Amino acid sequence: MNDLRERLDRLADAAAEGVEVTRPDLLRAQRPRWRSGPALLAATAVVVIAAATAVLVARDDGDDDVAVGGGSDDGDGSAGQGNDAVVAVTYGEASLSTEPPDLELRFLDADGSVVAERSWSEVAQATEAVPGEAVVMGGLVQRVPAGELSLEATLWQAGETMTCTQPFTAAGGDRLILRLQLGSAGGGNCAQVESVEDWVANRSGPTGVDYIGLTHAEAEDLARTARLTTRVVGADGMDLVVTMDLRPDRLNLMLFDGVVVAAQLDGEPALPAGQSTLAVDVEPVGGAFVEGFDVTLQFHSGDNLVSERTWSQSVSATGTTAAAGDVDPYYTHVLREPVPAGTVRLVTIVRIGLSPEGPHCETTVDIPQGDVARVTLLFEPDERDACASVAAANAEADELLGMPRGLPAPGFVGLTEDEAMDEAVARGWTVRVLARDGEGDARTDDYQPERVNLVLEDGRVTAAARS
Amino acid sequence: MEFAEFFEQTAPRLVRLCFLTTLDREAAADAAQEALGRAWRDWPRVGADSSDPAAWTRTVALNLCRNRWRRLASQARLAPRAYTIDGRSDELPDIDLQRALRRLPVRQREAVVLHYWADLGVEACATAMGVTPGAVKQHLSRARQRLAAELGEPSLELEVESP
Repeated sequence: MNDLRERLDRLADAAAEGVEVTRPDLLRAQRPRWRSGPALLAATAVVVIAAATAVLVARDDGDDDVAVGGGSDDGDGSAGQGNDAVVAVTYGEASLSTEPPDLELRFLDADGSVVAERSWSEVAQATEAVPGEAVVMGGLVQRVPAGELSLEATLWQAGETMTCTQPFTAAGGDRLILRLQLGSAGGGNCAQVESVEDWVANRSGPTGVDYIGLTHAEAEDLARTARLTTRVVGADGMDLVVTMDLRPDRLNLMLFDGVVVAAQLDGEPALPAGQSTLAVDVEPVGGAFVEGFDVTLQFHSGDNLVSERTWSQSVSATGTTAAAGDVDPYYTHVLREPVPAGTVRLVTIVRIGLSPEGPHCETTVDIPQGDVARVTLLFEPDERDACASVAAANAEADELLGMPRGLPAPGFVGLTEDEAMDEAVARGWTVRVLARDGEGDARTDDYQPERVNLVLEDGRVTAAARS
Repeated sequence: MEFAEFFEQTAPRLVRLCFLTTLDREAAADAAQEALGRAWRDWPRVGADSSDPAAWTRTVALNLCRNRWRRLASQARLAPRAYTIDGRSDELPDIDLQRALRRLPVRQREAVVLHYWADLGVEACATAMGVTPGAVKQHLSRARQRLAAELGEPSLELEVESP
């Protein structure tokens, strides 16, 4: 029995390492200002679109190292912070067994300096079944600084040495695939350059969009809760060999740099080209929903009304209508509306019972083609004016709640602003203050994992995240 | 006892308890944070001399853990999601134990963790879980059989729980 206790202890200790909870009295209090009194709610509820344009594709798994083959980022430090691109090199086809080629890769910057040296053996995993052969289950991933770069590939084959160089341009945040054609009938190019977006085009379905941006482990967890199985059909630019049987409960994942970039159920039609998805959910800030509550959602593209939905109908359409009085589906439902890529304007009109409709609140969301953006509707009582002001600021929902989205940034909560600055500098991060005493600062939506976003209250950090 | 002192004493163990019952670091942090937030809100009552704030918070945390699949936001969240977690969930040790715990029904897992890890007697387990002592014994008995089979430890089956 002591052994069990010790094992539980070890497991719990390991799990708790790196987890920090914060003393509630040091946080900005977010106590409900009222309880769920229907009459009071009916009189005061105002929907606030506290939109969250979390374009999930841009999410990082938090691991700055390369994600494939157990290799590490052996760059010489020249990769610029917050201005990197991720490149995956593929060679040949993914196969269950092949003799690993003797292939060396060098990434060079515009001056010819070596950014990183890698070997194909890092992604060719040895098989026990057939000595001398290896399985290739994905491309070789390398983080590179933005700019004019080139890939130099050298292949030793049958006593010959072949070398070629492929120039390419990478902007910060780019995700590129370089398909090496060395030693093959490639038509002269050393490598074909393809974006990840082109690789995964039309390979996500309506169900799969929720998984985009999750790490592989997170996607598996989410699928498990949805009673789905998963399999990886593409990894780091390489399409994998899979069976062709049809299993409607199986989600096919495509990964890049450890993150899901496309997901589609077996047999599920892909989202139409040129379309994106706006996922909407609702979350009360200060109370609970009541019977009779409803909200109309209008999706506009330019001057066109694309579609109009009511929340209650959308919830009912899922077939999860709850027993009377149970409003859980209102909280857990996510409405996924296909919308044209580009700028989408979402207008919401709240109604409670027979009371007059509330103000029309709106926000705009920019959604790249094939991506999914998420909007959380927050219900804030007593602040009718907040509707317009918050919508105009297009603030992210989690920021309003005091928690910016992004990667964890442990060790910041509770620090003064100056201390936080020092801590960020020590970690090599830049700092952005998202909100100070409830007032949001101007911000951009660019994605920089080496930047920590802070929410400050009374001069102290109440929330921090990298994004 | 001041809340700050209570927090320092309780938070680390609460996170661990929540993890062992959920096997999910994020859910554990979320539940612990929320439970501590609720303890703070009601501290004049929860922290009164005649009460047991650790037991109260543990019960709240267990309830939150049990409902982790429901979004905590659907309840009246009292504290911002202010916990932070590093990204090493794949590196946790003892896969066999994790698998064995994961295969236990939630109530059995709670009973095992409270009794064998948190050192609570059956009565205290029953209080924390909101069930009868008899139910706790039953959960423990069944959990031991499963764990013995999963972990290959026959001695677990022979264990007799203390009251």
